[in-house]
Amino acid sequence: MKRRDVLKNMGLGIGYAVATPTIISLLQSCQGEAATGYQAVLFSSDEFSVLTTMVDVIIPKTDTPSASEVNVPMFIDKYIAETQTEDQHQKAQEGMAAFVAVALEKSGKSSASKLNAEDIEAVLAATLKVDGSTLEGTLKTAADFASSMRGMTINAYKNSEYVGEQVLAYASIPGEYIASGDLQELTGGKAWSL
Amino acid sequence: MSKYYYNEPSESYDAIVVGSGISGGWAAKELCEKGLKTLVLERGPMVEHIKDYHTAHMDPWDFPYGDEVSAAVKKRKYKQLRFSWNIKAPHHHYFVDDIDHPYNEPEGYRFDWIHGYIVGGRSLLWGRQSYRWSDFNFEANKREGIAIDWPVRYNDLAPWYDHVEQYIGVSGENRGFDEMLPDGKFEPPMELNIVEKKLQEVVESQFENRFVTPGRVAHITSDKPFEGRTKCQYRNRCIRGCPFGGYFSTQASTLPAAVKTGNLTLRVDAIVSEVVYDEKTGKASGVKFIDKDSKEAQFVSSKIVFLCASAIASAAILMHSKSDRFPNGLGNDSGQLGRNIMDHHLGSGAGGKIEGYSDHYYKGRRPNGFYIPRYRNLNGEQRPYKRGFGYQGGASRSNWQKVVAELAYGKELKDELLKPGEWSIGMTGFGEILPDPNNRMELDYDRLDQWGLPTISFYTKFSDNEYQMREDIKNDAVEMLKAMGATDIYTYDGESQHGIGLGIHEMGTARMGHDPKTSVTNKYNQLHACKNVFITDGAFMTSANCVNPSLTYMAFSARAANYAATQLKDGIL
Repeated sequence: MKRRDVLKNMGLGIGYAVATPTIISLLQSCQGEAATGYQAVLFSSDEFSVLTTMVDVIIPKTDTPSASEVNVPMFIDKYIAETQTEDQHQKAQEGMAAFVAVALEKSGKSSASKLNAEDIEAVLAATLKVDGSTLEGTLKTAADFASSMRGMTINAYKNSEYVGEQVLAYASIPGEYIASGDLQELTGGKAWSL
Repeated sequence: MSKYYYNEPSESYDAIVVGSGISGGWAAKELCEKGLKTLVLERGPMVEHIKDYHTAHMDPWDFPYGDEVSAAVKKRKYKQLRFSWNIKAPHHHYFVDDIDHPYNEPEGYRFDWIHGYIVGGRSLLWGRQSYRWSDFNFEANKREGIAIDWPVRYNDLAPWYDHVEQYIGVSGENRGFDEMLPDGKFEPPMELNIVEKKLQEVVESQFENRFVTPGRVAHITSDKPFEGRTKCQYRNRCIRGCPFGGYFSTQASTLPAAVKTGNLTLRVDAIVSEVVYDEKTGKASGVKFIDKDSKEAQFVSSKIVFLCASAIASAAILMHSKSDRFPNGLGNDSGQLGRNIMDHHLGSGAGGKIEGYSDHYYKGRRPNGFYIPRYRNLNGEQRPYKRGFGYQGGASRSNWQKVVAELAYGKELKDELLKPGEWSIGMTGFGEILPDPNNRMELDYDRLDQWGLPTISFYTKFSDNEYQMREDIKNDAVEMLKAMGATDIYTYDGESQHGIGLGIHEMGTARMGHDPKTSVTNKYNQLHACKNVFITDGAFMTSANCVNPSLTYMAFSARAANYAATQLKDGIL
């Protein structure tokens, strides 16, 4: 029931920070365009490398690709820059600045370009593994940003071509409807990608 | 490239049909099959079946931003965006550009006019839910002393419902809800899933008069032959246009039938400005239209005219069709033209999570859900509001989104997010809006569009009846979800983000009735005062009921077209 979903979302208000977990079909773009050498639009190049490190802490490489391997950072940068309002651009930029500030403070490093996965993970732990309502100031802004990036990363990852077609259960034209069946039999325990 | 399809242009026709959507397609099919040389005028571009559904096979990763559109598109479609799901990458191109097609909402009023100008109109874009009206619905105005009585009853329409359902294919289940929701000639129903069946069992055993049934949708679900069409493939990409013809659209169903007769001519990019009234004959002599690109106007004559341009556009055409006899618009002796705008109010409801059933899953993206027919204000019950609502809803396994500390990020998160999430269920009310002459539209001759035509100003707002009803919609949904054991129940009510029109069921601007003093059309959808003009889109609706209206428009369109053809043959028109 698409209308139900739409109107439910409307009731919650549309903004990238709150809506991203509900935008069901985010996806990765720019097949064939290498992430390396990508000129970020919304973020500075240092910030973009923070984002790249961050999405791979959120979804690391295992026997399947990491988030950055399916171009999630590029998708997020372009998605916010090209589909969202200027207010939302500003909010994302402020969120990134706060996230970097917290990371620098925690690591004692002097610039974003020096932050590594360990430094980023420390901020994610301090923002996503705690009760968000206890946070204030810069840490709160960083936490909102981290939470929003987590939602976007998950959705962009699941809607990338590789994950959508090769990792999740993919059926472009199901051809039939089985209302209730056994999860293992139908998909081997995986979620449908579409 | 020619803007005429299927036949060469002619200066005169037996019939002109304005609009190629749900009702226009049906009018054209029936008129052509009765042997009438018929011209369909469509203001939008051609969308050829299959060939022009260019996004039909695209996956989310085939678009630059997934389902999302660019900020530039959102700026141009800022009113269409009020129904945000319509302005998504796979199908936003079917909806109008609000800068090119402006309308006015005077201070204190709001109207959400969500529409597309394309061949096929809303038949391509619709939700496909298809429900019959009962006598209880047709008698409501009379019984309650609201507005005017409908001049038809179920028996007048039943054979036409049969005719339409059997031709288009409607999937559903006969349950004998005759008072509220008559049975039909159905294709096999789309089964409820295990959680929806649980809801059904709980609701039907614990609540008097409440029933849960698969939504009745205009999809083919059997192997019965439907010419040129294939049964639903469960892709749930209907709104992009279905290359299988799995659901009813003009393109898949009525247009090919009309073309097959050899009697159809279609002219695209043709913006009808007025129906021309001939004082000598007391009838319409034809219509004027403006070419979208060249902006040249031309007249084409016909013996009868069917207005099927949508409730708003058809009323606007009549209001702009001024003559000495009809200074306030053609057929507007009653003053009711452009008034009584109705819709269904939606956007309120409830949802929750369902624990368990973790070994159960489904296959196929069912383009449908469950339906709970109206049960309020029946059998003498008196709620603080009139009429009632039905629910549409569904249960599914959501995308994985749980936020718990140990799954915040990392390998554990990754493993989890590739599995189906927990079950969730939700339902949204579709409520009736009462006819009110103050909910109206006017033409603004100070603000013309690029074709020199007056823009439409809407004076519409919700009344207390809708607000009261929405309380029941939310509370009853919570009650049923609690009864089935749902957890984390939430309600929603997009009231402040919702105006009349957002149900995309606008209707009532040229209502039918017995009396020419209080209504615009008679029981055959014929203008009381200009008998060779028929209106069979939502404009003729005298009340709104709470069910999705398209099936009823189709039945009335087919009935009126057959009546008109007979009258023409008998020399009466």
